[in-house]
Amino acid sequence: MIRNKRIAVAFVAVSLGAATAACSSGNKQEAATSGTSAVPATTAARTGTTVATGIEVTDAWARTSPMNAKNGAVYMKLTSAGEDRLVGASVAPTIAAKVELHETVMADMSGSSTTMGMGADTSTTMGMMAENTSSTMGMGSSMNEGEGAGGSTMQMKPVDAIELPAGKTVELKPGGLHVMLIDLTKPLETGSSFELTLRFEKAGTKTVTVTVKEG
Amino acid sequence: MVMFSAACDRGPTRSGRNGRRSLAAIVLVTVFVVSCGGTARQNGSIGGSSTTATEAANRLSGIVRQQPLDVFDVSVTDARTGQTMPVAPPAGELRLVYFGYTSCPDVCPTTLADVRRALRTLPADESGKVSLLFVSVDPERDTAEILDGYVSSFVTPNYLVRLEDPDALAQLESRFGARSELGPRHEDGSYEVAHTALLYAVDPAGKVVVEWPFGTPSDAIASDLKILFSQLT
Ligand SMILES: [Cu+2]
Repeated sequence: MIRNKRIAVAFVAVSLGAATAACSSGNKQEAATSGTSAVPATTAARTGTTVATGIEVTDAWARTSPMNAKNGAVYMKLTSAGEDRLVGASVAPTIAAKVELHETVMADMSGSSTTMGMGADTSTTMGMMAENTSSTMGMGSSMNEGEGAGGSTMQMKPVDAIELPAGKTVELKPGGLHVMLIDLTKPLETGSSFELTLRFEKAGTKTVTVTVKEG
Repeated sequence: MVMFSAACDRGPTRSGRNGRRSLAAIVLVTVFVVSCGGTARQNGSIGGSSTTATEAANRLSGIVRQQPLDVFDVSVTDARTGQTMPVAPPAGELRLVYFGYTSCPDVCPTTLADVRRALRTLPADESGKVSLLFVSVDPERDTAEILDGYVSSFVTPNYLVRLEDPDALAQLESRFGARSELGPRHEDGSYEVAHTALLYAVDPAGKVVVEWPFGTPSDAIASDLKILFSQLT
């Protein structure tokens, strides 16, 4: 994010009306800390075959795959009683050929990128926009003066692991972290469900049921 | 207008900016400028007077530029029909424009699903006057057929733009202040595309009247569309 390119604010007429829909996403990693009671920590598994305990997964869902879509994404809320990391995931080959952990990030074309939780240097613009549009990111992309092209774009990147701070709920959600299903074997149909096995660094594996919905 | 013949003679080595440039030989000129000298912009324009425009802008959730982008002179070729068409919609209608790609599992379907939900909440006489122009930022993988199925899963009617010439794509993007860039190839040959994730609304006068950032809730989009319709003359 290049601050001095963002003359954005001056060019942006913002709405008063949308203030009610205030942005609910501050820092992505912390936004969703919820009241779900964390399961007491248990012995950390040393092998990948142990069924994870102390890990809570809720609201696992995938969007109905549009016709001809090659890829899909799974979202969920993850809470680990103890500090842990989600390091991988898998599905049956009848669902998709490959599964990866991904994060959608803002990137400017110079190659640097920041995660969607806004950096401090953009807080003026972002704060203003977020308050009024209730959007979580992306604003200002085309507002940059000078080069006539959006300064920042959105991009997916594979991540090695998703950090799970002890007792905090980490939300995988559109525009942020997701479990990506690559080369869907068949379309994901609304109302159907499938199993996704999550692999944690310490807690072992946990298989969850993912509901397919229109989103 | 030059039609292309070989969409498939691109090697697996193509990646990033340089690769895109090297494709310039395959030319499908679709973005061309019809000079119009800045006249005749008033018909169907939103907010004829600055007061009205300001008032309307103040009520919109999306981003409104003080000087809206003007794409009145921009035409594209619909990949489905081969027909040349203006980006601006007919009188009385609104057109949404989005730059995305079908292999995108997160940002693009989220936005298109938001649009679908927004249009469902509009009365039929308004939702029937909204069309979507989807511009692929990944013409290599997004064939017209793939685009058709994908985009039509979300919003109809739609128009599909597939520009094989990277310069033509960049030129069209620049008219919206957008851009895209192919990411590096993975081992399996796949790649991601970084792209501006704004959804645009264009009025019949060719003004980009509002730009919605990713994550704008569908009800905010719907409410903005209602305001925009109320401003159409
Ligand atoms: Cu992804």
